[in-house]
Amino acid sequence: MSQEIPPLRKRKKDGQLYTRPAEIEALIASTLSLPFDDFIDRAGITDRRHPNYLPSEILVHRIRATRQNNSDRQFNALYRILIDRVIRSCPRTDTRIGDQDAEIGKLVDVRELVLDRFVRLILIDRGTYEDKLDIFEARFDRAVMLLRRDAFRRTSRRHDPMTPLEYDESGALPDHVETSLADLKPKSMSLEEEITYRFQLRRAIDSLPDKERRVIDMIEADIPVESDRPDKPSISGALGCTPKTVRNRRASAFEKIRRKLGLEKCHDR
Amino acid sequence: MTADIDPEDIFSDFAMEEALTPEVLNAYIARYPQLALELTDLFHDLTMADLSAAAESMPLETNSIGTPLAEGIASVSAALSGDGLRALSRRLGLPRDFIAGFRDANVRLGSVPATVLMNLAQAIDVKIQFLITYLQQAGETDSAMAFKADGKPRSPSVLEYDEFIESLCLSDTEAAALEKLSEPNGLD
Repeated sequence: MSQEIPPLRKRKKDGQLYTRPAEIEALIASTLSLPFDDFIDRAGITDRRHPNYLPSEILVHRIRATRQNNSDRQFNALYRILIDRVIRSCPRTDTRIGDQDAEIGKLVDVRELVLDRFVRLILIDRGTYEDKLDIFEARFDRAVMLLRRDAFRRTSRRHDPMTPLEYDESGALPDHVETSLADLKPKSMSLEEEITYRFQLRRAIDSLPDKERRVIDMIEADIPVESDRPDKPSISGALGCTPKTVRNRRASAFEKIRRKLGLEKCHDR
Repeated sequence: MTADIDPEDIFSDFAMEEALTPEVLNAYIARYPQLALELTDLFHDLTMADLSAAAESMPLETNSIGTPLAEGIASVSAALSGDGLRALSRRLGLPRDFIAGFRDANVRLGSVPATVLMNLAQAIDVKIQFLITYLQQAGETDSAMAFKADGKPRSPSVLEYDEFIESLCLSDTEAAALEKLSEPNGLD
């Protein structure tokens, strides 16, 4: 006897329903018949490589189901594990100052805001269906990232690298300018190497000043540097600067990324 | 056409896209040019999140969890006891027994309306997660003691929220204060 998994209810702006990825649906289905204590044992596994690891999406689905069975025991057990998962998804707050343990204040603020928002959604959903929680049942990591971004914004302390700009905002173009990140990518790579490379690349992009990072991502998204039509988005328009500045930022960013990737390659050896 | 757009919904939709590629970013920027900057930032953050999750499947270590919510729970405990309880009772315009009922886990947490819990957390000036964890722990201590004493899984004194409120025999003024506490953002 198979139980039907209720579809999510939130709709995108284009009217499409939010849907869970197929692997999440399959895991929900396969864990429905699991006794609750066994389910909790599996939910406690935090190592994503473990064969019995349950993605957080499954736990969100399960805690929402406690609305029907009204089980405090189940809710409490799942709640704790989910809170733990959310904390793990937030930047680490612990550090050491001298020989003492310490926490980084702004990261603690962010973590608490993220938790606050998540718990509110869970609580509201316990009373009546909260479709803002749907995304957590489909793309948990991304949903937590949305909360983190919002929390960073609300604390007005978003990390802003203090790297000095190395280009002249109004100066001439450097001679050597790559056209795309693809120019930097090594040729043949295995899947693992590809993931590692993409992660390193993204971390290199992450280390750029916001102005340069945005230029890089917009160039990759094929947004033109400038546009002669007001209704057509352009990088210079979005960033409020001249096309020449955009090109300079691009050149500076590519140089830094190349250096960063080169350094990391050296470290690997 | 775009005046009624809630950016939060757009960002949520964007995060729901199966593959976050530069092409998807392009499509969203074309559709919502006024959100170009934020979508670009979001694209970066979500890509980092995806790649972090993928990378986490490969390394041998998992992140260690930060310190639990000990300080927050201590704040809740202080607010629901002694001077804190009296001050909170005055502030909310509700009898001390109302606060004590939460402190002593006399009311089943699952039956308490979310708005009451959220407003209570706001009144105590703690994050909601601290209050919930405190109440869960209080409930467990209570039921563990009851289990030892008479073999029942839950203390017989635990009431559903409605029963709990009824047992307090609130005055009209107190009932009005409770109504306020039960409204979304009732303390604002």
